[in-house]
Amino acid sequence: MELRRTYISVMLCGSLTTAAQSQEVADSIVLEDIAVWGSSNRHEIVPSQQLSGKQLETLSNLSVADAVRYFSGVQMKDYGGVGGLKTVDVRSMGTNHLGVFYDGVQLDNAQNGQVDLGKFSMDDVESISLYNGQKSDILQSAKDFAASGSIYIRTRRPRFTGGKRTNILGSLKVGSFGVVSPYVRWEQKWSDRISSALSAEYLNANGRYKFRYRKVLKNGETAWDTTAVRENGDVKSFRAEGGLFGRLDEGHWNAKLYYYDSNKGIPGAIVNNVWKNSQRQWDRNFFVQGNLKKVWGRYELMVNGKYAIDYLHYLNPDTTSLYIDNEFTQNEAYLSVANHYAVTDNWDVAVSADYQYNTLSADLTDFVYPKRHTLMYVAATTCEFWRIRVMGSLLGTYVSERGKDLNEFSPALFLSFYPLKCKDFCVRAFYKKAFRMPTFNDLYYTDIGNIRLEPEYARQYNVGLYYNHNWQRGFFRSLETKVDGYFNKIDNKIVAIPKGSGQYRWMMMNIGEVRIKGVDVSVKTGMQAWKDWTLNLTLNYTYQKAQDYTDPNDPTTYRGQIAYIPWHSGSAIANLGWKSWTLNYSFIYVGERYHTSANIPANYEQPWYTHDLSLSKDFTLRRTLLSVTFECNNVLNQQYEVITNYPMPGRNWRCIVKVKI
Amino acid sequence: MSFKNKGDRVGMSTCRYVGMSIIWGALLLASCRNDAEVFEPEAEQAGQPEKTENIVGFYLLNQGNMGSNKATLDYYDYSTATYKRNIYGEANPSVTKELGDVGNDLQTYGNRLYAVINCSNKVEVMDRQTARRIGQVDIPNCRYIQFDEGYAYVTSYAGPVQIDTEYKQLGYVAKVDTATLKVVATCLVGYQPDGIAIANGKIYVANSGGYMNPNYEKTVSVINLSTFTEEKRIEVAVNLGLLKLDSRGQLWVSSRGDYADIHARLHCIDLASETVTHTLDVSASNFDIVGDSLYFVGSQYDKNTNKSTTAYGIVNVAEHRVVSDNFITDGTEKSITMPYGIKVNPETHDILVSDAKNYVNPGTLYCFDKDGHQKWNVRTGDIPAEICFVTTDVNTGGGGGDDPTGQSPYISHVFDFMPAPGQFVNIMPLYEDGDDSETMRQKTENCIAGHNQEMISLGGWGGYVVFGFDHRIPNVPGDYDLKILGNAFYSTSEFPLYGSSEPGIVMVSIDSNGNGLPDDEWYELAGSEYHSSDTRHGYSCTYTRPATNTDVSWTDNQGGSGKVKHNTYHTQEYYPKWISADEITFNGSRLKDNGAKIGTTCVLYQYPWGYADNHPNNWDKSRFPDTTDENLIHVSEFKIDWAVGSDGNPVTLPGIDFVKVYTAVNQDNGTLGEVSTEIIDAWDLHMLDSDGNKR
Repeated sequence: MELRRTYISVMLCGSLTTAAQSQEVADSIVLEDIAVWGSSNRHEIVPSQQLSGKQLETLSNLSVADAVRYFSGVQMKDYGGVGGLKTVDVRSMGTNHLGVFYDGVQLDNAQNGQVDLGKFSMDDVESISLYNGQKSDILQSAKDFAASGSIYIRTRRPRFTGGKRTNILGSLKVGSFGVVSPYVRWEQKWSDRISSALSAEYLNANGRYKFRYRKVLKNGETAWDTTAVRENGDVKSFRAEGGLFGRLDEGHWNAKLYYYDSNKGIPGAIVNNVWKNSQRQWDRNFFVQGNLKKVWGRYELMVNGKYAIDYLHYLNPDTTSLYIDNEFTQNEAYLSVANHYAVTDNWDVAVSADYQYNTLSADLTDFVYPKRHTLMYVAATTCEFWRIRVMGSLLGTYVSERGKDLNEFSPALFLSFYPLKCKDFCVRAFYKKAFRMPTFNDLYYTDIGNIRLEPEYARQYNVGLYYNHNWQRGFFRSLETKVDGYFNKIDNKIVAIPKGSGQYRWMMMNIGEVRIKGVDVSVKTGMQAWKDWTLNLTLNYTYQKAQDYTDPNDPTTYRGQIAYIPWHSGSAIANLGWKSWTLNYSFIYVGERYHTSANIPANYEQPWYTHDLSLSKDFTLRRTLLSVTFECNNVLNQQYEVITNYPMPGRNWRCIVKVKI
Repeated sequence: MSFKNKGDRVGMSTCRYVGMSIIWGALLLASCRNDAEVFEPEAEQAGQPEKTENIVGFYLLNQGNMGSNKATLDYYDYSTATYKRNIYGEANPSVTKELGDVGNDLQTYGNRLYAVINCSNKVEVMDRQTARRIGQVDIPNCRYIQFDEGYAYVTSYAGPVQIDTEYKQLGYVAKVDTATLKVVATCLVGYQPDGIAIANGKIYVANSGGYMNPNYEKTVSVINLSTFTEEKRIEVAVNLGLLKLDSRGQLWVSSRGDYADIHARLHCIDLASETVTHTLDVSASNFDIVGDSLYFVGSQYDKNTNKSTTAYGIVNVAEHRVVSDNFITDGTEKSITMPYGIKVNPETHDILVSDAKNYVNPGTLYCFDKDGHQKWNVRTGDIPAEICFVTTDVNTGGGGGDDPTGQSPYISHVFDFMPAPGQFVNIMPLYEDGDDSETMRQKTENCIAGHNQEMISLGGWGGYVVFGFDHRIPNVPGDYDLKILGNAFYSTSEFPLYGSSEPGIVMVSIDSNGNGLPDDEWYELAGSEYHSSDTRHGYSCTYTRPATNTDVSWTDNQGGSGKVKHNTYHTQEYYPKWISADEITFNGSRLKDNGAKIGTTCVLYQYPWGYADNHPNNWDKSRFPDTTDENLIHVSEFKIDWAVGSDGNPVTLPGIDFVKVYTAVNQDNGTLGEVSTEIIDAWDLHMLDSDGNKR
């Protein structure tokens, strides 16, 4: 019933308003930015899905993970709460095949291959983009060619308007789960060529929320109904970022420092007789990274470098189970050089090479202290002729680790075709073969690890349509539609399987195979009803059939839909603006799923869908901009789970005040 | 660009509608959220029906992956050859979050089924026939269970923490009183104790040290049963697992090795000398002993080949050697991925082997006949682990040992609760919005079952409760068999005794159709008033729900009528609120009124004998210290000998399974209100004496 109401109201919104509108404010900011830095965006063959600007701001996001949910083809594993682990899986290929880039440089986790997007706050973020296959820019580091799907998080860059030399931004978030989060940012323009930004954020939350479990009898009567409070979900975190931004003749550079420190409880699974857990985790992440880009005529150079230290401390103080107190430290050094040469106006070639060094140390018994050297090199070319644009790349990866070498080649081919004279409509396709390395945990974790593991491969075939148009007047001002059909195959999938001796023990093996057929649809429209009224609608829908082909002898799992992947999922965002008021409505739907590939009733997971609302108002007091936002998330107070036995919060509230001087 | 032309407009709007329709249409096609229903068991035919001697079926406990809360119980019925998956929810629909997380051990003892649920930190106690929950014993990180003399002994990893140079934590054995389901004592043993066995007045515990890799434990702890202290340790091998007795006074212990260089082994300890006499190079992940045959399944991981090898063998416990290295003779073991559990039917010697597959998906249970030919296989829950046979024979424990007294002397189950209107109705037990007959029944059970001793009121005449025990109470001729406790008391009167007596007629029934339900013939226990001419047999009374919260009118089948009067002390509705019908009729016998006024005081006279809530719960020794009057000594006690049929003729019952008590008097007593029988508890007098002490 809820769903039906939503459907009708959205249809009404869509058809009752009659005027069109100009392109989103947000887009212009991004465009301006691109213009400033001269990025060769025109070379991108497959467009990304992007959230930015006002739309991103008014979505009820506490972390990057919350925003990424709105992209089509994305499934998020969310263990609930402010501090809960949130990892993302694109097109059912598995978290490890996804690259997450922070200001152009990949965030890596050689230990377990997963980036917890819940850790990344939205405060400094300007845009988030998702690329399937790879970002098809010509000038990019070899790593940009490596992953099977990538998320680019781009932080705010200082902008100074009207002769200002200093910007001060501050915000305070207060809300459910005991969230109190102050944030401050200082931007300074030192000269026409150099500016800086310094920001800091603190988050404190007790993480408590009520959740309810209920089951009914066949006749609909309540069998049991229990409400409890989620415990041990508290978080204290501090984040600081500093950046220097420089402009060169025909180029630019920046340097960035990042520090994150958190202390949080791990709320854990809720099972019979256990309503509270006591595990804790401490994270400390530090990195420094730099980027330089310069053009000499037809030649363009980009250099990226990074050094990162990640510290993780995990404690299970629970004396009723195995006591664990482990510390892990990862080090990473990274250097990338990318070169682009425009041979003709329609033909570009590029060569990039990246080197990365990873280590992991841990206080585990018999730990091997792995070290990994990775060298990646890529040759890529794009050309444009008639109505066709093509990009081909071949990435070579050389990994050396504990005396073992590995050489892999990953080809990719991207193609777009404009059947119409105007470039509004486009047909595109890509093929890519990529792989992911076994993580240090897969290989070396005491007892579980298996040093014989090989890489896990992902092949992607994608065909899609793209339509984009803007109008200067009328009701509709913009329309962007994407439809993609794809087939992915994961071979040599690394899965945990039982290990002998009848005990509950595991080891990692390359035995899995998954085939995914899917369709992603996304529609974005901008409308202007009359004068000051604007309405933006974004709709996403994903259908996925992700089947487990691992064991032909097991009829219960063979060709079953893999764990936690819904057949149907989708999202809708409606953004209504009137003068300085913005009302945002967002909706997420995740259809029925099973929590293992045995698609039997005992493994069934209910669909879930949440409605979020936010209302914000901007004020201008002299030169100070003030905005106040009220959010109500999960308005209908649905009691749901993304991961079984990890209850999600019901209705919750937040108030955000932002100041810009 | 010519976006003003007509074609483009059409294209645009088509796009829009097609796009939206696809998205919203698809979302509509996709389903909405429903209320989650209690799991319905899935029944499946497996094999052919079999005639059995004593064993009627078996339970299988599925462990479920850690954190999945998917410990589930399956049941196989030999007579119909049906395998029912996931039966716990149906048997216990009101239990929050079902059976729990990681089922580790399953045993029967007396008429109960005990499931050790490791990560839910509890031992779940159920009725052996119905799998209905009786209660739970909270023991953190509990592992395995055995029984002796009415006590359960459970191994647990969660002993006191020692902060040495390294973190260490000893395990312990918990001693649980099966009557009260309370831990009464603990005894520390080695690190991470697993298997447990009881013999010759001693408890043997296999210590694993599983949390202490590479410093595994190597010993079996020996505990003296009578002192419940650890006596000695027997050194065996690293990382001990299961431990089972054979019929030759030998203890068989599996060691898991260090999963690297030291292989898993099977060891034999001679109980007389308490020394290891034999060690076999056998990896026994799980084993079961029937007669002289020890059947084992095992899998051994070889770190050099990176593969697991599996074994299905038989050891002759007399000869101490492997007599078969594959009891599966038809080659079907190839389909087994991860052999996990094994149990042999002691009557047919059929071998049950469970396959845990990849631990996250449903497993399979295979049944092989004694010659090793596969008879059938069936899908189970996740990680099928422990199997436990169920026998017909009510008073013999199953796999739990040979002591028959794993029973509770107290009420185990309330089948029905239907009070007549009265001043304590909707209060005792408390009606809350949304309650129905089933939830009220459950509340009633929570009050009076398991020695909880919370009072319930049956309301006015005819209101009743039906309860049962976890075993049949035998009829010992001449003896008192049953005691029912209420809230009657004496005032300081002379004879005839008066005070507060609200007598209830007691009826009994035997489960002659064997379905576990009280749908068999009822017999009244004829008390002192049965043959009185004042007693109206065949009486029937109908109560009508009042329109407002006021008196409840009744009419009987003998031309009488009256009211259950609303009083100022109890202002709630008197008509049971969970009953939707506006009239309720009760049938039975009505005793003559026992209330009277002495001056301005209302008093309620005691009848001589044979009624519930008639006399106090205990012999008033201070007032009647020297009495020889059985009616004053055996107050509130009942003999099954008193049973009469509907024709009034005595019947001889071998025992009883069900008891019904209903209010026997239909009288309003002014300020005291209507006479209404109250019940707090009932006992099997063959297990407890009159004072409630264990016999």
